[in-house]
Amino acid sequence: MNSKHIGADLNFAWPSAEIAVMGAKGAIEIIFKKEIDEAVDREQKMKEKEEEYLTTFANPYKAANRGFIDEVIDPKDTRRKLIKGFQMLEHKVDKLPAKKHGNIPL
Amino acid sequence: MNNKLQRLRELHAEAFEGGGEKRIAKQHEKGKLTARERIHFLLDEGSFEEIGMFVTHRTTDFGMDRQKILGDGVITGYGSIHGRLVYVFAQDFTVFGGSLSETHAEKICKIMDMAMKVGAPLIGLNDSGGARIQEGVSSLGGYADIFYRNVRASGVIPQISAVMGPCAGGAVYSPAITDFILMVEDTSYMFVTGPNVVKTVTNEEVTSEALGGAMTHASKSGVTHLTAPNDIECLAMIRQLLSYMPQNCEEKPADLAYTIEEELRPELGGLIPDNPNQPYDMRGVITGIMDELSFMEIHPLYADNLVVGFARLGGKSVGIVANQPMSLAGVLDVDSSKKGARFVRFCDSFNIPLLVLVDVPGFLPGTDQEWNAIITNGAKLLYAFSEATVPRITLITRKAY
Repeated sequence: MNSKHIGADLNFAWPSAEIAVMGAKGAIEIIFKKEIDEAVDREQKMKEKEEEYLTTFANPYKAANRGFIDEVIDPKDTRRKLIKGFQMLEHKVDKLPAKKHGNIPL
Repeated sequence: MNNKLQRLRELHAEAFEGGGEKRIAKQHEKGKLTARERIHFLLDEGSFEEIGMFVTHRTTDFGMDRQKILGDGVITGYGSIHGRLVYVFAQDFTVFGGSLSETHAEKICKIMDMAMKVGAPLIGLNDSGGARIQEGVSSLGGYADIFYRNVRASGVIPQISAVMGPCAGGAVYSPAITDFILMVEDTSYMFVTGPNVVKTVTNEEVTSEALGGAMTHASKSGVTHLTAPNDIECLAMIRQLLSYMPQNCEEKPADLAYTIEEELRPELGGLIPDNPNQPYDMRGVITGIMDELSFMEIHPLYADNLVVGFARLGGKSVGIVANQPMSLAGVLDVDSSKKGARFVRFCDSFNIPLLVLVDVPGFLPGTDQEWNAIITNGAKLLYAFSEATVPRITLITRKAY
């Protein structure tokens, strides 16, 4: 919801954020399907791969590396960051292209 | 001159009486206020100025020429809320059951046109038995005149409808087009066709309350945004709602004075459970961030896996859209997408910045969702965010899949 890609001005994340395409269980069954199927101990392999996925993706830093997240913030600073963010954006000018009106999928 | 003034005073007294003592007593018995009492509680004290007090209908059929009541069942005019100009109409159920005649509609249209010219919010207090049957198509034309203006005014001035009694048939569409609907519990209902017609056509037995009462529309259909236990609280909610909005689409909402200090909120650090599958109440995050007691939730009982509402941050009005992990793990589905999209578009129309709090595991899977067009409905939310040009800040608290 409201990512930078669809026009958000500022994106913050708490350190507890997990920014990924899906949860770990669903993801490993796709990414590591072959490895899991061929494993002697299926359960053990899944656990291992889930752990690997979590350390790689279950955090805000991959997204922050790419600039999708502007800043990872300490929750206690949230209010100040947001007040200042909205203050900074107060004179934002952004206009939609001239048109009669859009056609939202009703 | 004294005689003439006397005559004016008599006419005023007559208009103030509305449908007469008996009908006023009946209105009170039902727990409802009269139209004039409602306006009194809605507006700043003593600020109301009436327009069209002496209007009467022009019908002669069915002996109507012998039944005329000053005002013709609706009180219209202007006044102020928190010192800011608003236009208001209040249907008077004590006069012809608040039924809508051609002239009744003309009175409403007159103040709608003024509200558009001046650029100030319009508030409608609905309490009407429906079309004035004696007038036939003139009455129906009146409904169309009103909702044509509602559509023209949409996105230009804020429009708020309170349903404080019956609102059935064609009457429902004017409120439906406005930005917000509030319903009073137990005394109001809204439906296109009532229980009798439903019984005839589909053989379903249903009460007015179950079919279109406040709770039905607050939780099942989402037609109403808010409900109130009585008239006075309903009117107070309208006042609060307006406080977050500007007068029109060219203006910004009014700020409250505020000096930024350290603004530390240590308690926000302890809100997210260590177990990523454990729910928590996103409203705690909202109230933890925003100005104290400033949060007003919209649609609290409908699609509660998404929380939307207004609040203030450092004195400025902000619209909030937030996933709610407490309900369905905060997934997006058909209803929450529609709810979110409509709210985002309202905020964007009226220059209210958006704060989006994200903890979402994705869209809800299933045949029910796909067959009810989660594709089209989910697209509404994407569309609304993408077209919004107001300042937009996102905070990801946990999952963003």
